[in-house]
Amino acid sequence: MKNRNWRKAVALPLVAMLATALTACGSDESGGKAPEGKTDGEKVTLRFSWWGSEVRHKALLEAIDIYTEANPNVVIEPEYGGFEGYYQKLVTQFAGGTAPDLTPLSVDWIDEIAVKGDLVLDLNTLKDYLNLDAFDKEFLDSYAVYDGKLVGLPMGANGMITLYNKEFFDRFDIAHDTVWDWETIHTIGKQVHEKDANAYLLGMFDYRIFLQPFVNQLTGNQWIQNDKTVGFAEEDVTKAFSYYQQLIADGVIQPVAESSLYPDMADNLQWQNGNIGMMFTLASTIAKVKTYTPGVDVAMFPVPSDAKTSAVLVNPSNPLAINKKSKHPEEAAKFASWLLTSEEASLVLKDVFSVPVVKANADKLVEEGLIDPTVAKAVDLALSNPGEPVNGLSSNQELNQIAQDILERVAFGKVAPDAAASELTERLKDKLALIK
Amino acid sequence: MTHQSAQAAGGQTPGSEGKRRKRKPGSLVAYLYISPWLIGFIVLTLVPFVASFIYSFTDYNMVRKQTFVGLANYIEIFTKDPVFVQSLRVTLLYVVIAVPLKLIVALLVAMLLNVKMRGISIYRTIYYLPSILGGSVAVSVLWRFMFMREGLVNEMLSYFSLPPVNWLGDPNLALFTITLLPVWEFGSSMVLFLAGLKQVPAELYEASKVDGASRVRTFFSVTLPLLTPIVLFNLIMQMINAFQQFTAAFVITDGGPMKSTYLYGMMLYDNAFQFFKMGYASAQSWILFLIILVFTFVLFKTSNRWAHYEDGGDGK
Repeated sequence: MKNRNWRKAVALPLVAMLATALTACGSDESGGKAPEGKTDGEKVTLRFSWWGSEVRHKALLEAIDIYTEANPNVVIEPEYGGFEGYYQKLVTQFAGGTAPDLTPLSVDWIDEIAVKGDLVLDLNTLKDYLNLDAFDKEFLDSYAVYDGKLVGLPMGANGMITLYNKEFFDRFDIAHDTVWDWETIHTIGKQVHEKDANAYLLGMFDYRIFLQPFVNQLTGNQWIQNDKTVGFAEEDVTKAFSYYQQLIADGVIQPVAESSLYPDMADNLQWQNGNIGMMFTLASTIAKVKTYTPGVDVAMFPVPSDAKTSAVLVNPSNPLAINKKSKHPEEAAKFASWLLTSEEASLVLKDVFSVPVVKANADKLVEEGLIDPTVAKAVDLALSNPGEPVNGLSSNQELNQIAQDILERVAFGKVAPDAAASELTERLKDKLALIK
Repeated sequence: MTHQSAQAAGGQTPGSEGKRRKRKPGSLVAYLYISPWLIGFIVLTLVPFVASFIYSFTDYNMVRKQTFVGLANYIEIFTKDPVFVQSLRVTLLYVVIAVPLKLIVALLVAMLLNVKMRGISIYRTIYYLPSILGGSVAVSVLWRFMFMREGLVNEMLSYFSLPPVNWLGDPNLALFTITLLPVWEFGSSMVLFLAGLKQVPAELYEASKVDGASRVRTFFSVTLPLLTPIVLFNLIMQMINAFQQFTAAFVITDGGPMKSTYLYGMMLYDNAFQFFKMGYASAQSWILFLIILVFTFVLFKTSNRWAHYEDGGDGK
């Protein structure tokens, strides 16, 4: 008898553990309906997770303190760190049912997490707890509503701009108010390199800052259309690739063998040493670039006069979403609303998420000099001529990696523009046929 | 004392049935003692192992429910994935360069350290240190700074009026630069070689000396043949490690430039954690498992021809 008990004693926990592990591997089919608990006055704990720099962490922690002091029934547990690995961790948490109540979403993830995965709440269902009137409705509809669902509250407005080194422009007599298009880039960039063989107007291109916008300006279409077809003809991409090779051949762009180690231009030593003149980047990265290169200013992203669309990328800087499985969605909504619409919070957050979307708050920050004027100018520029919001398929990371790989081979001169265009089209079509 | 209580007390009970039963309490206690490992093995190795096999036949992205797709993942890998072919090619090249290079360095250092002198154990410790630091992220970052265009290595070359080399930016060179990192971690192979060298009977060296053999001849005719069992062991272990290499390529070059350092481990990582194609990545990891299995099997089979055992290799 004793033996059997022993065996049971050992076997049962093992079986239980195995079963738990196997269950954890499966996905929950309940779909995670929002609970309808009434939380007024009750002690609630919310988990709020985000990524970012030290400045952002400090500001958000301060904001949380202010909020919890005014709302003693709410405890907010902050979980923060760097961007590297954040998405991987978040998806794993969603799969395991341990995702935080509140998390910002990078625009690239919205399609998977909010639309296909349906893991976050449609904030329209919580509008009684949110001050949605504070936001510009058109902005929300364009950049935070996907498939009819308000996936999050924009934490700031972000946009693609041309960021340039003022000292470099002065050194090469480039007018600060130059209106850039792809032709002027070629002409001026060539002159710069002829004057100084170590100087380049640009650092490097990737699919997001060059290939997609360049082709979109030619076609007026999304990069990948919603019906899962490519939004361009082969000759459009051939033009883009030929132009890129021309820039490299004429020394407008730093040789890719030198720049490929620095996917983030701000880290590129030649940029930091003042040998590269400008880059195309998002307004939210200006603070980081300024830590190395304080003397920068911004200009409009290159848009040719005959472009069918400006293709200037504008997006909400990390819409703040609420987990569908949150036990306290109403309290989470109240906090999110306070954080992103109240003047009190905006004075603490300043521009840690770029310029606030709520105009009254943005104006107040500019008026009080609490916001970096370069960032404010950058967002204004991008919003003055925005392109069509990028659809989910055009943000698909696997499809974009194909474009990036081929673009890199074009840059190394390993493949001719027309062959590259044909390969890109074929591979995208193959992959699109497999995407459900 | 009853029959059962006698067993519980560990008392002798005559008869075969009694003997059979007597072992059980002890073995259960043994299981209990090893349960931390057992639980770890089941939860962290066995379950993921089985789960990944099942997932390899599904379309699963962690966010949505998995759907069974049969062999579709395997068919896509072999027929529609040029990145798989590229990555496999890079990985094989990496294994072919890194493993022999590492074993040669390990053997050379082991021979250097196989001398009798004061403080030799300090030298042995010093040479083992890189293996403790290992292929960690911090070391990889350091490697990146050393080999970047403006890095320490090029700075040193400039002292000898040599032109800078684009170690990590040149697609033809980057893989070679990456292979130098694991070569640096030769410690565990070195220790095994050192132990092997100490086992070589001194009379064999004396005999070869009497026969007038040169040092090189002695190495190839005496030392190396007697070390072949250790070479085999090191070869297999290092080959398995090399096929699974990830950190160096991920941190130093991110698989670039032009996918020239896009090792199999990176491809797996990208499919699993960048594109969240868990089913597809599981299928790829099973293919890697089979590749390693085949290589190991071939090494074992061919080792009869080149690995020499003093007892003839049959344990007699």
